[in-house]
Amino acid sequence: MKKITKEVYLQWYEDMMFWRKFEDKLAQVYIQQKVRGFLHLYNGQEAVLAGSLHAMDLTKDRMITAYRNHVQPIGMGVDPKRVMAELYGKVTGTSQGMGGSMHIFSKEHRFHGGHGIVGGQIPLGAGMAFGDKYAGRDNVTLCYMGDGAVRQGAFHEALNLAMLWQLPVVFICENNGYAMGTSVERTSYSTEIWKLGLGYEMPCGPVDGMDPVTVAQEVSKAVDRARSGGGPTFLEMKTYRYRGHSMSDAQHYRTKDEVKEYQKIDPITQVLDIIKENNYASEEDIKAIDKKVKELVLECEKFADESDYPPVQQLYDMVYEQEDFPFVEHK
Amino acid sequence: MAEVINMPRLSDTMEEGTVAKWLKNVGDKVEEGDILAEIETDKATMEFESFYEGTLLHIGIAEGDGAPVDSLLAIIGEEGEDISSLLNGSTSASEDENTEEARAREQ
Repeated sequence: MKKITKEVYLQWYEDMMFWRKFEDKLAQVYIQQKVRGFLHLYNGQEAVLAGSLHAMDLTKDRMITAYRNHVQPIGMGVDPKRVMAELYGKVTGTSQGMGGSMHIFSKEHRFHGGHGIVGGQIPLGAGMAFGDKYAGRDNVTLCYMGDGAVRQGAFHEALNLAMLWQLPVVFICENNGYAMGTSVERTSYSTEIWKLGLGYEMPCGPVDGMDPVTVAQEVSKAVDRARSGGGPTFLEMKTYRYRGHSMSDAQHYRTKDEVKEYQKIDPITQVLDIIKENNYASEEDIKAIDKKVKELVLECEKFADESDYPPVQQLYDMVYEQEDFPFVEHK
Repeated sequence: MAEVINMPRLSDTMEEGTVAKWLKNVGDKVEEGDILAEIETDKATMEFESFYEGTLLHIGIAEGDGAPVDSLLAIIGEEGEDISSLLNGSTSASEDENTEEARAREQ
């Protein structure tokens, strides 16, 4: 694994703080109706992404996830202004405003979405890994899903084939405790989701998903295994989300005390504590990072606000092959 | 500068909301992330958090009353700040927005 240096901790702090504030801003502009449709925020789960990115080779590895997907592409190098604009439905967005919250993509940065069908991305992730193996490339695919998605048949089919064909893929379940409003306890005989890998004899295990260091270590092992031809891994990140499943979730299924308990092991606070203990940065340095983060979020908002909506004609683009849309009545 | 807070759209289908309960009173200090009120939507009663910090200067919708999304709900600013212009200007501003949106829909 790449060493976790002072620079890494500082980068983690800045990145995770930015992701959190980016999502907070989205919550704010959502209720102002600047962002429409559904909105699923990542607050609390940041360590999973920070640790994973440290384990990846960002020049070649791929990522695919479900619809809680705004900050992953940013982590992989996509301009956050374009992600914000996509959420606003603006033409400057990552998919020219045609994807929205649940469908962020960047071919350039190998972020392959952004998928709205629960578990739908799991066989796609296995397929991408198959493609890389077939073509003799040494890219690794990291394929994320929620704790609800592992109850889908597609998950089991994908794990079986990934193992059979020894695909270079790391399946990562981000278990935040709730599939929408239903707790894992209510739907699962065994609440140790990582054990689902055992049925396929796939290397698997639980990971503290609130600690980026542990995440980085475990994902690194899995990525190294995949790259060196050792096949897939299944990891269960035990994490937590502070906000609702989506913006319209009243969160009656949990107590405020439960949320507060998890905030005690908040990933950003954990990293900040390490920075302070080791004198990696002064109070002023931290304040400067916070200020930079705040300004960048405002910059994203301004960019999205000031961008144009796509032209109406774009509605038909990428839908019909024929350029004159023969079956659409023109007005 | 004082910030005007309108009736939020807390779910994709919400057209109007009812203030079930105010958790802050006029004059109270508000931190970013504090719960301002409980708002009843078409689906559920949800907590509505503040995205600003300051003092709650004005409540536009009383407890138990309902109003369409975007109606003036509250104003947060600095203690003693003059908000009379915001109170007068708020209705016309939201009307403008509504007509603009209606026009956009027609297009």
